[in-house]
Amino acid sequence: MAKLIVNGDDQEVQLPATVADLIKQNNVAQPDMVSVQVNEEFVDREDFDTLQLNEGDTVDFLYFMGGGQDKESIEYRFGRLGVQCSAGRSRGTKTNGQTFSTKEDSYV
Amino acid sequence: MFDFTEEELNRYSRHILLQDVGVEGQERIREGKVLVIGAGGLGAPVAMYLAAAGVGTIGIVDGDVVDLSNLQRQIIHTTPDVDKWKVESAKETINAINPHVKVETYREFLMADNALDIVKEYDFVVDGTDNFPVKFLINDACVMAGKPFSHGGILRFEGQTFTHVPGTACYRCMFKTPPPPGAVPTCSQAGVLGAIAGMLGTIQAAETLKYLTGVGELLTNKLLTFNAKTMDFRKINVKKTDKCPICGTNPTVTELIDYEQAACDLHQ
Repeated sequence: MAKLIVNGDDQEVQLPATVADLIKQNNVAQPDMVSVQVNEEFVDREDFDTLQLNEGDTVDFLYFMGGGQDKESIEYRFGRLGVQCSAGRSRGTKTNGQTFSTKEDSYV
Repeated sequence: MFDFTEEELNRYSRHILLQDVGVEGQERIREGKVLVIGAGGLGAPVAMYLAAAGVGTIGIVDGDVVDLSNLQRQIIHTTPDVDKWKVESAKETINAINPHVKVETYREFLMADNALDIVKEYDFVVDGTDNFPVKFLINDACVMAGKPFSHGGILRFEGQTFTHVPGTACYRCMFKTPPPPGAVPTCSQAGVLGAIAGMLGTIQAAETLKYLTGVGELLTNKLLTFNAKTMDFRKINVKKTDKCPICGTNPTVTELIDYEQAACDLHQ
């Protein structure tokens, strides 16, 4: 077992292991969304499967963090009902203020 | 040499007492022009502390109105403000805190076609938004305009922030492109503890005041993250990267982009 520092904490890892392996072992919730630094250098996503980790490496997982969200109950319920979210927002209708009161675009 | 009135000297006395700030620092704060984008959970404490601190000009961008569900964390708005424009409600609170502050309101959302025009008027920009299209837009506009800014994000019990000044790591150095619409919880009922917005917003306000006064070390090339469940705070060193799509050696982002965001329409 080799010792790595993952998100600031010591972690025992069986080598050989790639960045992708470590992502899996750490149960990263959304592996497609995480940014990874090894020894304070960002790793390209296409290298996750090939970059081998070494004893003593420092690895940081960085996650997107958006905001507290106001998209309250409607979308939540829709999500629970299995209704798909679709791309495209109506943010551009700047002249009609009332459209904005639907929470579509509320800031944090 | 500084034309502070007795009232101002009294009002700002706790700043002026600080050796690192003093009258000179307070003058820099008064000369400061800060743009707060989003008058929500983060923008509220930022704008309120900057107003109290005596920042000379505060610009606020928000095209939304106050909703009852905002009041759990957006403390610049109060119950009688429900249904008011957020920028108007915020301006009233700022003026009540400190009538010396000049407030510029932009009752619109930041878009690719207005971002540079708005941002260029200010010394420092604070990202108080909750969605990735605008977070990337703020980053890109500030990098292009050479403006420093404070980035902030919160979710559930966690927060993260960094400060960018020209030449240091930007948002795209860390996250190259926005997540696909709906991929990361801002389009679901993830929720947030209201006080987390205050924790992160006051960090952003402190960074703004540090920038204006030149005191201390900014959160540049560092991503500060915290988890309020454990109260673990962590600073992750990050580097500006040559491969960055906007501030790298071969930028691919050369103009501002309005990214799409999940709108959760009833398309089946």
